[in-house]
Amino acid sequence: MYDVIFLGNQLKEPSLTTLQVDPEALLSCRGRVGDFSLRYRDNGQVREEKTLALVANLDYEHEAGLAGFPTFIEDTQIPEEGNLIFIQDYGQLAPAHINRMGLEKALAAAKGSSSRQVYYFYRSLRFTEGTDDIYEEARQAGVAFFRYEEGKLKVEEPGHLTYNRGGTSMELEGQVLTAPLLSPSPHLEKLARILRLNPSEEGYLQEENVYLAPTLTGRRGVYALGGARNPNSLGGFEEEACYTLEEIAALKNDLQPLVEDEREVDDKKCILCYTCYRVCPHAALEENEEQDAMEVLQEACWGCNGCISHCPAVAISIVGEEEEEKKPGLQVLMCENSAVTARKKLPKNIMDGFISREISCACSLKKEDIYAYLEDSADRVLILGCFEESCKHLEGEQRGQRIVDEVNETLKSLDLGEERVRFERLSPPMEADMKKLLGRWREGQL
Amino acid sequence: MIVGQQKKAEEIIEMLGTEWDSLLIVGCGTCVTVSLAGGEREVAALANLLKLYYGKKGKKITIATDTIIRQCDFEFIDDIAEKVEGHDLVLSLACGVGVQHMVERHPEKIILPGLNTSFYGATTAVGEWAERCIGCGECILDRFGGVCPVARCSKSLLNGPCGGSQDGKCEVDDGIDCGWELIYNRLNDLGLLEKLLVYEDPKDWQTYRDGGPRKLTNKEYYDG
Repeated sequence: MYDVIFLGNQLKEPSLTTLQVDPEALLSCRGRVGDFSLRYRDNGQVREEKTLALVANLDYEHEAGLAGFPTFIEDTQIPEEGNLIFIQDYGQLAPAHINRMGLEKALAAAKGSSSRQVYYFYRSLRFTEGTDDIYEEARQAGVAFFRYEEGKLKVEEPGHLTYNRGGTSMELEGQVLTAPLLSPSPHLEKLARILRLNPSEEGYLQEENVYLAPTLTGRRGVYALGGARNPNSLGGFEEEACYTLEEIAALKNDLQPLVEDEREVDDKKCILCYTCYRVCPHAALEENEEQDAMEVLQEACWGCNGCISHCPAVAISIVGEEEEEKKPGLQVLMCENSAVTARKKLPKNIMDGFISREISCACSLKKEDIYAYLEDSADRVLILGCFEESCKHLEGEQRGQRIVDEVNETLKSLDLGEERVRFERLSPPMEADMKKLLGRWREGQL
Repeated sequence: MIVGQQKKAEEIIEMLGTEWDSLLIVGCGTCVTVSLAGGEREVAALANLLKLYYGKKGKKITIATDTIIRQCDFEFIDDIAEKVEGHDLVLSLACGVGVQHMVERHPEKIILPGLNTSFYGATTAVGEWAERCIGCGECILDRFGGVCPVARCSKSLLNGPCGGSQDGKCEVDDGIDCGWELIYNRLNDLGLLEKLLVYEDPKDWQTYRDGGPRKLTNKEYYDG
């Protein structure tokens, strides 16, 4: 049993036992934080190792923003003389770290020679701590900044640039340096599949989500570092690596479930359809071969209840939870990760006149329950969930919306009313918006 | 597995008609549960939706539900015989096989289909299935790199693609991969393209529907 298996580049940490596995050699990953089982190829043999945690740590793929031109990454030698033209955001908006690196290089180049002109083209400047000072200093040192629109900048031959903006056209001569274009390692697609992670749109292992900062993935105990994470990791690698290893050390000392309530699968009802396995955003379900049924891995579960609401055989439940009594009326279902917190900042009587209930996530909605809530023709259901990028369960917001859409479409087709079920998004500090929403909901004006 | 899709609620309501007071909705716990169309969850949702609908119409009805392991085997159907007999109508959320097997067991009952039986397919993503077999009765996958030209070419061509294959897609719909492109690529990857040089005789469709409704027996088990 290792403490960490690195998929890709291995990091040294004397207090943890580590192993490095080539991502391409990985065959499967079963289990959960504290007890992952990895199978992989090693010199023609298939090996199996257990580990407490996994870290995917890979380099970015990068190429020049403009083919044939050097980039301004760390190791680029800047010519000592002659005009320089920095181009950022060509083909891809540069992440903040590359933005900063470009400004530093431009400043150094402008300071290093008074006889040269330094131009800096960008579509969007992104400021992190200290970057605005570098920007100001670069301006004072004579760097000329130009914002351009995509397609309005042309480098037709080496050292010759044409720029159009608002009726003005400019031609410049100089050495062109571009921001590198970053792309995910080609191993990541396979890693995402085997590790059961939802990759970002660009193909990195970490989605843009507030709950995952800095290096978590949706699967507890699996971390993404460097080029496996996403371009936001640039410039902060050391800190992120340190955080990750400290997290793993903490888990080694004390691994507790994230949620108190246990979810159980009724092995007599489970038909091994694998729907729960596929919908769980946290890879917390696995087949238990002894029981011939799926099993919720308690340490891996984040408690969204998406498996319960999506199981077509109604085989999954929370241990000890009784069926809720459905009362007719104006329903308000509040996600515990957003609306419940916002509601606590409002007066107690804010929920008067509503039948309100806390839910674990919008993905826990069941259409059979929603129909049951609508028994009386005046009944309506308001779901107060989270925004997509701040959904703790990553896909819960989208799954919730799909359930609501399906229910509304069916109700409308039977003349049972339009938009009787609403899904609105909130975040914990949005109590004022929540108050307004509830007021409008009460008045039937939402 | 058999992939099904639940009928639209309006169609189900029209089919149920008005001459009934009690309805039993029966789910099927195998293929159509996996294809998220006729398992216990879908049965419960449909029951609650129908209660809502008839409640609004002021029609006094009772709706009961059950889901059995398979409606295509009498042993499971017999487990709910009393329930079936105790209701005016039965709405089966099984595939067409299950509905007819229920009819065979309960010839006196009106048994109605709540699903459209779609095809034999595989799960390709959560909530997505794709046809892979038409049950032609004579499997020829060995000769086509494991990709069925009968099921996956819109024209079931056996000797190469038609002129409607463009950029790997079928002319019938851009969303359909050209089966022959898949066959070619697979055999190419395996280094077995020479298999395609063998002329394929016209298929004997007697093993399919052209021989009429099919029946088969396994001599080891069948004592009829």
